[in-house]
Formats: sequence, structure tokens, C-alpha cells
Amino acid sequence: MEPERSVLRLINMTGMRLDRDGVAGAAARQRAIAHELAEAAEQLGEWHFGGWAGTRGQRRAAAALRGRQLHTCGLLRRQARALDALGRALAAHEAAVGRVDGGRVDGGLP
Amino acid sequence: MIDDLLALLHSWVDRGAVVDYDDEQVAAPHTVIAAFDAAGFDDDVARLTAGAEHLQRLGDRLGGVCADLPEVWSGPGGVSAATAAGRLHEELAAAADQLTVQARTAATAAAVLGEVLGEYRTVMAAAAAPLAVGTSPQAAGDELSARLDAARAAGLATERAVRESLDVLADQWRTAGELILAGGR
Repeated sequence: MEPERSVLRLINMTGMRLDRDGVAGAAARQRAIAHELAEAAEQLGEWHFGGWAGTRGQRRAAAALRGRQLHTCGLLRRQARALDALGRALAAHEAAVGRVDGGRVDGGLP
Repeated sequence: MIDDLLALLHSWVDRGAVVDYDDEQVAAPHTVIAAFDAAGFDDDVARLTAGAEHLQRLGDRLGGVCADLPEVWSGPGGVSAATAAGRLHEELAAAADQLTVQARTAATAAAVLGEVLGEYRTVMAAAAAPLAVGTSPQAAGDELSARLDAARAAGLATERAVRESLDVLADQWRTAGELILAGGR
């Protein structure tokens, strides 16, 4: 069975509802947030924290701050990628449903 | 600031005042303070705060998407999509909360240090102020000795405040991996 038909079969078997505009909107919002998240991670990674440190003790604190922010930055990058992938998956699903029956998902199989 | 006090001392010693001091010893308690760029620290705190607020807003927006998903897509697929988004929302909220805590602690430290450094500057300005016109070298020696004591006390107290505040922040900022290596966890 073609993937698109299997999507629609699943929809009808489970009696689910799918608002295509709503899913497309959610996908777009997720991808937009993912984009901003990636930008925030970039900023966090590029900031040169710790320019205020002049002694060894102060540099130790500054290094900890930089280390912590790079850690956070890596975390945010991963989250951004995961969220973007989820948004793309949602958009692909919505598009697959749309290709099968032009958005009619509550009826029977075509 | 300490240089101003030393310049005052030198000028009065040249005029015959007797003051028992050593330049390096006088300057020692003030080196940590002079090396700390409070304005630069405030900049970092402002960046952290702005970054934390931005992440919180992104987390709120993602929370909104998670809340809307079950409305637009029901069934197992929709539940899976909502669950995945919910998990990401939780992770993002946790990262935003951590950054917020770091920013708040740093902001508190910046405020406390700002106050301490303000008091320090007041004491040091008074210590380095010119002596009254007509002061004799002998009276100047007594006055400057007292000022040296005040400057030393202010320097030591402020140096300790800067060092201890940054030590606390360093402990908080260290990553989980570093904490494990240091036996802190």
C-alpha cells in the first residue's frame, strides 16, 4: 500500500479527527520556535562571558560560567533540531493526508 | 583609587610627615578589587537575564503548541505527536529554569557587589582626599596612618566579598561533568 493511503487508512480505522490547517499551523509554529531556539543557542555560544575577570580566582568563575553556557548551548541546539524534526514530521503528515483526499479525512477510503 | 592614596602619602612624606608604610603592602588588599571589572560583570548578568527571559518565552510558546495539538489531531498519531512535543517542552522549560536561576543568582551577586564596591569607593575617596590646608607634617602623619588603616580594612572586606561571591557563582556554574570530576556530586 502507498504510504499516503496507509495514512488515510489509519485515520479511518482509528476514527481520529485531523484539522489540516491546525496541524500545518502547529508544524509551522514548532519550526519557528526551533529556529529561534537555534539562534538563541548560537548567541549563547558566541558571547564571550567573563571579560570582567582579572585574577586567577575570578577567571575560575568566568571559566565556569563559559562552560555552563556552552553546555546549555549544546542542549538548546539538540532541542532545536528535535523540535524542527517534529515540525517537519507534522508538516509531512499533513501534506500526505492532503494528497490523498484533498483534506477530507472523516469519510471512508477513496 | 589606591594609587591616589599612595600619591597623597608620597607627597606628605616628601614634606616631612612620618608614616610607616610600604607601597606593595598598602596596595595588596586592593589588587583583587582593581582586577574585577564590575561593569563587565553587570553586562554578563544582563545577557544571562535576557537569554533566560527569551528561553522562558520560547518555552511558553511551545507549551501553547502542545496545548493546541490534541485539539487539531486526535487518535494515536496525534497523541504521539503531542507526547513528543510535550517532552521537548519539558526539556526546554527545565533549561530555561536553570538559566533563570543562574541569572537571578548572578543578578543578586551583582547587586550586592555593586553596593559593597560603592561603599569601598566612598571610603577610598575619603582616604585619598587632600588634607586640610595648614596641617602640620606631624598631624599629617597621624591622619594618614588612620586613613591607611581605614583603606586596608575597606580593601580586605571588599576583596573578601568579591572573592566569596565569585566562588559561590563558580560552584553554581560548574557543569554536571565538572562537578562529578570534582567530587561535588
